[in-house]
Amino acid sequence: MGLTKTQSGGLEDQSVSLDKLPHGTSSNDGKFLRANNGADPSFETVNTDLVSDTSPQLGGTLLTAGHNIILTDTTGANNNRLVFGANTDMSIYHLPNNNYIDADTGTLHIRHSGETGAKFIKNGAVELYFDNVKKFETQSSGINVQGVNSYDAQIKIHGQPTIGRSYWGYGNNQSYTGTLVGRTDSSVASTIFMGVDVTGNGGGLFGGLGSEIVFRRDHIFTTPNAANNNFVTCMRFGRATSTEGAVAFTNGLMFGNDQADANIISDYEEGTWVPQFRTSGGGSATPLLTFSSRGGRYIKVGRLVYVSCSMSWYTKHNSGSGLLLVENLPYTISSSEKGSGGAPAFNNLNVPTPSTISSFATELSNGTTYFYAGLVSGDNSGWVNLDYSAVNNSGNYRVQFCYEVD
Amino acid sequence: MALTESIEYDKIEVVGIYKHVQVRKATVIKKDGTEVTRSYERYSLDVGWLDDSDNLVDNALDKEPDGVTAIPDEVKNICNTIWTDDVKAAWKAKLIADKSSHK
Repeated sequence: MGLTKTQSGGLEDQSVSLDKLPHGTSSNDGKFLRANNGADPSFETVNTDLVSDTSPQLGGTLLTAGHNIILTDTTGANNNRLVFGANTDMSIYHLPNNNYIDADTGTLHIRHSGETGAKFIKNGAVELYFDNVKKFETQSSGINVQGVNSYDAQIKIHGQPTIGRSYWGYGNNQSYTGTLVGRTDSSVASTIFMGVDVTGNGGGLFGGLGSEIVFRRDHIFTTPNAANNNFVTCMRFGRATSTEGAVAFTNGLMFGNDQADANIISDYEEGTWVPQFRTSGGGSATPLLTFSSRGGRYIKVGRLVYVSCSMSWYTKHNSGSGLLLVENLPYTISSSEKGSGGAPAFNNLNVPTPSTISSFATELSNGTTYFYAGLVSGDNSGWVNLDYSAVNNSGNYRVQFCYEVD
Repeated sequence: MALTESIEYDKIEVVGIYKHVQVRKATVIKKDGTEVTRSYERYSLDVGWLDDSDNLVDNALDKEPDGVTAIPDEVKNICNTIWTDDVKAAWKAKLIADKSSHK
């Protein structure tokens, strides 16, 4: 202590100058008189410079008391961060444009009242929980939506159950697995849209039952081919405006469990054709007749062709000879076709010998696009094909029959 | 509203050993550019026919069966390409055989 001069009545006011007391200077800390629990008080150094204190410690809980703890942007590898544990076990910090929670040691848990809400596992999954039960996790191959162990839909889109685990994958019978699309609650129907622009259709109402699978126009069903290197089109929907609602079975249609390719119905077509008479000889003289009208229709179902035709004429040209044929069939007759067609109606005809006719039919010529106009069977005698001489100057011819194509 | 009608030869097929050419002629009606109907007419073309002396007379490829419409060049070109001398010879033999087997 630096006091050296006393006075019996005590110290006079302002009689002790600062240089007689221990004190700090501009370059060190000040000293304060510290009570000493009944012993003599002493002057002690109190460090009030936290900026210069390289190891400040809290003696108790730090209360912000209406103020903030501000950490500026982190600089370097470890500055301006809240650090937990040793070194970089976990730290929280801010960069000028981003915010970080680094948990370099162990799993980062986000919990509430002891229940896990999320886990971020080092070198592993991110898991999300509902009521402490895991529902979602990332995996090396994608994501897994755990959902609930039932056939209830597990993924909702816009609040509606939309995609889930198939019914058959649930419970004891797990021999079938798959993905369920649409609502599973039996009281609510589902509509599944495939590439449809619902925004352009009056709020998405298609005027159906609400239980449709709606394909975009001109969309197709395909399957992989046998070599599994390309796709084969099975069905095509609504290819043109004029065929709205029609399904095109592009590669044919089969029924039942049949696997014989010969039984594929490959096409359907209908239209018109223009029949014409010709003879088996004297081909340069066409037309043989001057027609007042002629026309025909056809319907093809698979390999079967139905044809009908009608011809009326009023002038016969006498330059033809040979058997009478009808040409211009819409499809080539099968090379193996051997049959005869329907019975023609033929008026004003010169009936060939024999004059007593037991049957009158057309006869197909395999591998060609014509048929014989008439095959006449006599009563208890042979048969002959009509020739051009049977035709008179005017007349009518009508017939309908079916034939096969290759 | 504009209705238009057009003809499309939308399918030209070569069928069988005698190279019959099957032609599908589509009549397409469009309303304001959108197809509303499509109907078909078909005809088939052969290599030719026999004359009275059993010589093959080549198909002149002049008119369609209606006797009015010209056969389009696209169809003619296909016919002229595929109707080789061998095809003509085979077709001629077929016609002669048919003629002799039918009386």
